[in-house]
Amino acid sequence: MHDKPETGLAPAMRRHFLEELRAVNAVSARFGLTLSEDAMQELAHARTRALIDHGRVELGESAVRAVIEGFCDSPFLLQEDYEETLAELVDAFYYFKNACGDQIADDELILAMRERYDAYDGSVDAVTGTTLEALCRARRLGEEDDGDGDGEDEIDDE
Amino acid sequence: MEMGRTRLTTNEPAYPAPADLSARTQQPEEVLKLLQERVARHTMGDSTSVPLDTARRLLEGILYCIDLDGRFPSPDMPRDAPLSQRWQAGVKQAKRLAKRAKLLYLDARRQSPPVVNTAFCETLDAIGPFFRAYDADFFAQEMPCSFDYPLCQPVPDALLGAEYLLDYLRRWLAESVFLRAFPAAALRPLYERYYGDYVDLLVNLYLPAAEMAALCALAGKPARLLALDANELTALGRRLARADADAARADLLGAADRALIDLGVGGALPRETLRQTALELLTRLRAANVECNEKNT
Repeated sequence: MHDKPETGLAPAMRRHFLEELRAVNAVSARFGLTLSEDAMQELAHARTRALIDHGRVELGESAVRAVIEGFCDSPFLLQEDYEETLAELVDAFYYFKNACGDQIADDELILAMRERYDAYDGSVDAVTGTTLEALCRARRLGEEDDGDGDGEDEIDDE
Repeated sequence: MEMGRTRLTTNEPAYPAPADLSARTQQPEEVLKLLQERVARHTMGDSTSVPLDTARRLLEGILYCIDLDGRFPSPDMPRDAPLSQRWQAGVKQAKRLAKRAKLLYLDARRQSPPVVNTAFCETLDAIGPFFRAYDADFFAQEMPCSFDYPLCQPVPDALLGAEYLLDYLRRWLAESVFLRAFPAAALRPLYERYYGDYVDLLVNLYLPAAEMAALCALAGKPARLLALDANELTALGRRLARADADAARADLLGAADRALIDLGVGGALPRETLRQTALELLTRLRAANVECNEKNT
């Protein structure tokens, strides 16, 4: 028995998103980072969950592509935890978009997240566990953190 | 009221009432494309995503403009034109309506009744910023101002955006034109009897004057008097309550028309507003009479 091809808007948007990921895979591959088809499906789920959780709507091109392009040349991003890291960064990205009331452009925000990520030697927790203010302050002032994670602005004290 | 059509608000012909926005989901792919384009413009390309509420408002704006184009079709727009063109025509129509509303607003500012109250003045002031804040390109369905002053015959809830404001101002002017036919000295004692503190309360200034003018005409007195003694009022109440429903209705509508002639007030909307107000008074009087009879038996 053949599966009926999916029709409708949601599957079309999902297919478009997966095509975007395949295209950006070619870019990240230059840095030794690729997503398998399964990983892409997982990331698609993670993105949908994040959008729902944060009450946001994304049509057309996705910010996930920009997140991948913004992080793939980080020396701290490794293939082993590439998929998991991306899912966390995407969730944090939409969280920060809300937190800034859409006052920060996608590119600016990704740049700030990337700087934080690198400053903490590739710690996703350093990105997801900080506040928007700290993220932006560091970017604006070009602050050099020592990466010990004991800053005042840390949300996650564990 | 005829289903699916708004009531006459001016001398213009009635036009179809807006449909429920949530019901219009034909051509979802085209709507989605339009929404995508609107989101990109709204964020100026800075963001691929928007909060759910913003997306909802943008979508409502698109659907509203498409609906507007359907209700005010442009003669050179074929009915099978792409949705994006129909939306664009709707945006233009919304802007045209806003311009017409601005003319009415300037008129409303010039035509204040001889007696006003705080809510009346504050609402008029609050409408001013509407024209700067109204954003037909993105949120044509929204009304960026508040309308605190209650009209005697309120705007239908189905109207949105500049359409709502336009209708509100038409009704406002119809009420103001009527009130301007009276001297302040006749209005003030009437309001004091009817409302007490008519200056600071959130009350409609037209209603007492309209009812009393119609009753004065019914009693064969000049409408401009705006006063009847207790015996006259009781007699009129009994006459209207006991008469056959159709006869009472015809009696009061005739009185409303005579009052307008007496006052020198013309125009379809002032006439319709006074007739409607008179009929509502009749309904209340007859209901009160039934209640009174039930208590007595």
